[in-house]
Amino acid sequence: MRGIVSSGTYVMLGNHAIAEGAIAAGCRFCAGYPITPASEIIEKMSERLPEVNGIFIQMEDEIASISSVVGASLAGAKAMTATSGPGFSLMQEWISAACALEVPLVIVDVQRGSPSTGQVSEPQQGDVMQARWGGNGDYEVIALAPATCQEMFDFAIDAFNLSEIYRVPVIILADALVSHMREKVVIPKYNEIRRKVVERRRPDGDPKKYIPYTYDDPNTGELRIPPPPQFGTKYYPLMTWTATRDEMGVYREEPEANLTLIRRICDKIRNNVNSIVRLQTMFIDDADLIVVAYGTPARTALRAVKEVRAKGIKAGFLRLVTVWPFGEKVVRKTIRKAKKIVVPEINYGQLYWEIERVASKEDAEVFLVPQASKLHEPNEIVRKILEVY
Amino acid sequence: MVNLKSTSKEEIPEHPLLKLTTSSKMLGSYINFFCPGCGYGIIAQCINRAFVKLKIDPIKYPQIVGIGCHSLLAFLIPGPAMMVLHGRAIPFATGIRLANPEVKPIVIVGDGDCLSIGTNHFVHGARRNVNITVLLMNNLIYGMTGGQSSPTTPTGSRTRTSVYGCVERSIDAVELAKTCGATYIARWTTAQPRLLTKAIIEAIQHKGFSFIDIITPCMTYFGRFNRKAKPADMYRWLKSNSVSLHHAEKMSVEELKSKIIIGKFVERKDVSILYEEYEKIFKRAQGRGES
Amino acid sequence: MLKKQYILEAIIISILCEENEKRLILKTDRCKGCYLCVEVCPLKSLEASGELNVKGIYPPSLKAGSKCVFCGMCEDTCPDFAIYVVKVEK
Repeated sequence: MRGIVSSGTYVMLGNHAIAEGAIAAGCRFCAGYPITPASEIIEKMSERLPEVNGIFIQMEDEIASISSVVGASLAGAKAMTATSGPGFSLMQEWISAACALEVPLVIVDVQRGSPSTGQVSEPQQGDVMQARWGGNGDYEVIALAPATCQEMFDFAIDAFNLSEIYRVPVIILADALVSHMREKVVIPKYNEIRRKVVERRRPDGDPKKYIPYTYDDPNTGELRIPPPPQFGTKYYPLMTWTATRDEMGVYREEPEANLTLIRRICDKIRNNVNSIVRLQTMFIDDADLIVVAYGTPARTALRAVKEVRAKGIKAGFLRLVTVWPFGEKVVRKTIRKAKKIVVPEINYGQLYWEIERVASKEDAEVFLVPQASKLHEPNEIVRKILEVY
Repeated sequence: MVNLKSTSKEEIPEHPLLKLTTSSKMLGSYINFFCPGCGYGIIAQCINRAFVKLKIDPIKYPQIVGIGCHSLLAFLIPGPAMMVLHGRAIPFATGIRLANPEVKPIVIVGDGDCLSIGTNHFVHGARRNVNITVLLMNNLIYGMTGGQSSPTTPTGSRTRTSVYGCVERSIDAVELAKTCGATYIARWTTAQPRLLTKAIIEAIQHKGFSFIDIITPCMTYFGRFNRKAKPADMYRWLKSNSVSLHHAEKMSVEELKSKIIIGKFVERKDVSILYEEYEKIFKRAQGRGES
Repeated sequence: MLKKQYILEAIIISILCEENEKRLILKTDRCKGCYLCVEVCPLKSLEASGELNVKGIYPPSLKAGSKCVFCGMCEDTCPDFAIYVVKVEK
């Protein structure tokens, strides 16, 4: 019988690695609806969760899946769901509600050929902008983009940790390539993992003094993120709703209250961008041209950069591990010396617009290498670099 | 007859059920948004009376409310009450129930919530026999948005979106619940408040998916558009058209055409609830117990 | 918090009928004038009174010459928690 952490070295499917990572991080509720290429995640969860007293339930559609995940998270369990592009579009109403209610949860979006039904087993990065702007209204989410099967395991743990610290939905933007690939995955021992995991905070103290939602500290003016309320305990506000509330959960009609709510749920992420955003860089110091990539194209981009370096071109490599929030300041500092930026994406230009916005402040030109339903080959990126250098 | 004007609190105690409501606990007084004669106030009294008679802790029975006129019931029931997205109350309650089996959510939905946008979730919730109670506030119209037709509006009625009369056949929630396998099904109207209280007590105590279809009058929209504008007119219409299950079995189909059949239709205790099935799976997966 | 003018607490209370320890109480300012209690009373003892309340309607009162048996039907049917039967300890 396997325990919570199946330690060892494996050749594992990317989808299975993310399921193992979720269970190691403490996920005990998963609801999902089968969709290619994410079905293996929920299949693995249905096999492994009962071994650790967790529950997996296949719901009738994606909307029911995300509804039950929000309910389970508010009842005290770490919860996740897994879907692909069309299912992710259906979940947008609840993502907006979960950000407003500050519910910690994890959504795995295994992106596939798009738009619409697209090509179901082919990789694409078509949901990048939808992850940020898909739901109605103003809110902020955190999104991570894994590129290897080992990262599918590691980022699952990181995603649960970030969602617990910031009380925000975290989206893992995988794609059909890394999810259906088998690679070497090293799962460390139980004690090593438990040291990294952030547990769900439980409210304590006087229930009358408990403040359930993010509030401004009355003395310092900083934002404080309290532990989330829990059904079945005295720490649940007497009346709450998905409509505009103040920090105690009371309904507010005046416009200032809505602006306050939006400011709180957005600033708690925007003020902490430095702690949340992670990058990987190589050959930056003397680079005149930088290739900026995220997800699986980052692997091809690094190979292309090494190839042109061998030919004498001073090219650098920047990989965005955290796609949202977009680390504008740190990206701008990294690309400061370069005059040309090349962005390979498996879409027709989505994160390209964010990078162009930042690069134009440094007078750099940005070039897109678009693709659809397949990973770039290194010579495509090399050809673009040689063309524009 | 004695008509005294007095403010002495010892001689004039408050309504016995008011101290249970969230409006009394949060604001210290009574607040009500409903039209004069709206049936939701009657149902709120029945729910409070059921909680008092059962002597249960409301914290273990949170009320999940949908969006609509019935969502304002959140002020008149013992908390904690949570209003969720339109039509998604039943899967939300399923998630709460499976993650924390000590809590039994009571889901209060309207006819648009449950039978229009949320019919899919209703069917699967009943099929799974998840241990929640669903109270359907059926006022035959969409009240909060201004009086549009709903799936339960009787054929031929006038509403804001069926100005020439509703042409569709209405859905029978009890038949739908029977087909999907709910294990406690009843229908009452607000003209029978004491029987409704008893039914709510049975539904909360029942182990499994319990469903009560409560027909309430909406005189501001349904009543006014269909010549029953006064609360007393709609009350009389409900009372005279209610037929108990016992009598309905002996009546013909034409006689039952415009009648509302009330009573307890199904009560089954032989189907296990969802969480018990999961407990058996835990034993199998962890290698102990039956295989 | 909700604005003060939405909260209307009853300041005028009528005791409609009093016998031994039982009283039929009407919080006059809570009544909205639906007259469901008038419809439902088994002895038909209630009728609209002649005095307006603060909401501008005529709340119910006991008919002259009728009596109340404290059955509680009006309490069960009132949607506004306005009319109710209590037993007062003396």
